[in-house]
Amino acid sequence: MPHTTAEQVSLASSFVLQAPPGEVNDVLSDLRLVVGDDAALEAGVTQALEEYNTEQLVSVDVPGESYKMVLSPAGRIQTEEGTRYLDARNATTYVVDPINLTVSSPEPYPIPSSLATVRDALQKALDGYLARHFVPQPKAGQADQALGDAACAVFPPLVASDEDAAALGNRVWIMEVVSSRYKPTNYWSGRWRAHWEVEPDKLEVRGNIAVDVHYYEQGNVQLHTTYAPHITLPSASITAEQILQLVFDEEAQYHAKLTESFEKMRDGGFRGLRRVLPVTRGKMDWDKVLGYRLGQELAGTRSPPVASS
Amino acid sequence: MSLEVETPIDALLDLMRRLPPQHVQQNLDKLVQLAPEDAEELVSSVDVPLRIVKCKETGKPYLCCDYNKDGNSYRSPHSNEYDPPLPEGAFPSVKLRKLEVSANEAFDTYREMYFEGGVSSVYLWDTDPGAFAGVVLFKKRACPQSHFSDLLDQPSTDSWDSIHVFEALEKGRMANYKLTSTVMLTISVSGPSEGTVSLSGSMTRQQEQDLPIASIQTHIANTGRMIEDMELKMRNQLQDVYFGKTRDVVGELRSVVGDEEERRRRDLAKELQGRFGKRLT
Repeated sequence: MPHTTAEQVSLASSFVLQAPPGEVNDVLSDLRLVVGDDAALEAGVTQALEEYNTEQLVSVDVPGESYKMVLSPAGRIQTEEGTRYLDARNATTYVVDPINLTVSSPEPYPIPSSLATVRDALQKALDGYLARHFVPQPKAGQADQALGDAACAVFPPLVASDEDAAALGNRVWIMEVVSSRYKPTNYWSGRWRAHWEVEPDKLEVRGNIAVDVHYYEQGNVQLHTTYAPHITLPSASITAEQILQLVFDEEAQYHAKLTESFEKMRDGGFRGLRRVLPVTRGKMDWDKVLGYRLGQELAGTRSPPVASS
Repeated sequence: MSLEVETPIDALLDLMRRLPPQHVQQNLDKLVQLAPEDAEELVSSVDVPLRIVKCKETGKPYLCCDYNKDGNSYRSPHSNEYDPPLPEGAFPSVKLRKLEVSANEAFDTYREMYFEGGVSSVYLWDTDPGAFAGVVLFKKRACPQSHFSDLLDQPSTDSWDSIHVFEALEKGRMANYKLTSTVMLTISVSGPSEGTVSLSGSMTRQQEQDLPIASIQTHIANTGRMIEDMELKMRNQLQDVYFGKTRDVVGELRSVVGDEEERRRRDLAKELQGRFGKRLT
């Protein structure tokens, strides 16, 4: 049954969106071998890649800057020439190649000062949180470090002037945190993503935390988690540092809860599926098992065949 | 994943090793659509969770896989009949069918002792003179722990699927066994304070052993012990990967040690606040 290129591209796109952390290029090169029409594939999956990059908060190097810029739906700007991405730290938009992630054609994107003040304060507080909990730190006695990085960004409402900002019905600042690690020598990769929508006027912060892990030594094991916390702010005049403290508390609590969930699944669901050993604590006596079956049918009784321990 | 990927089938299998095991069946179906010319090889190389069906003749459940399939029919280990009926389908020889019946009984006892529920099926087929092959299947499902009152948001069922494929080759009083075991495991937990946590995956291991044989029935005990040891080993490895290694990776992504530092700082601030009786900024 022949398939049109459009159908192939739509199927390929759905695989791109499911790529584990750091493996989107591997998925793409597999798809190139399967589809066999590189030009059509690349043109077709561009949209899926842009979606993948912003959904996964892929972060890219900005020329001349020490930090990484986070690709987020909150900083995506559609222009007549195509998609541009906002680096709110230096109020500049760029064109980002969705495949090789190179950054080019900077253009200034002034942020109204009434929004920039709050944004800069949130950014400073978020940078501190990132440095304390996500930026890879060398560990004692561990020579073979995992690769990867952490990045964060704060996006203001995207309006052109202070007048427009004042006219906004709801002013929402978006904070993104992303931390990725890859350790191919130990067959794993992982990503922690946190998305926070800060809306002081409504005394609200809405979050979404997602953690993905891929472990692939002689197999394919994946962890996928989602959690959507909700924070009520005590007052609209709360400081950025105080907001970050509340966000930090939520994430720390979630991290602890997730650690507990592993124990819960191990001692609950997993144990309930298969025992380590039968109730008798001995392995099965395979020589007796067929005779046992016969005997059970004759006598109508039951005593499991186990090797004497 | 340092395997060389050079042909479309390599690429398809590499994709299956990367895509979420939570959606293995859906993704396999999509890959079959994407590459129909490689569909047959792909489907026979990828393990998917086993399907349980009911034997038309005996009413007992059995498991479906590629090894009891002929055309679009599946053979019941209970009745030895295909469903839909397929009188011309592949059947084990009379001698091997007898062994298959005994093996199904023996592994059913094993299933009850280790899984305390679930379904097992054993299928054997003739290969060369003095040799045969078989597959031993187990499936157990359970409801995941959920604290959501709204069951609409229920994640997938917890499940254990094991597929043990073996080849037996008689060499005088000994037999050589080659065993390939795959376990697919899905576990999840959900609730208002933990959101949803889903772990899913598969693991494959191989083993080869020479063991003495007294009669044809000895094959059941020999493969039984190998499978029992293999499942114990894999259960431990799965436990280690699912609940140990994965948790450790999460710890690499976000440092908890930073938390303690943060808490100390907060406690200190509180103490100072209490001591000086005024708000610190």
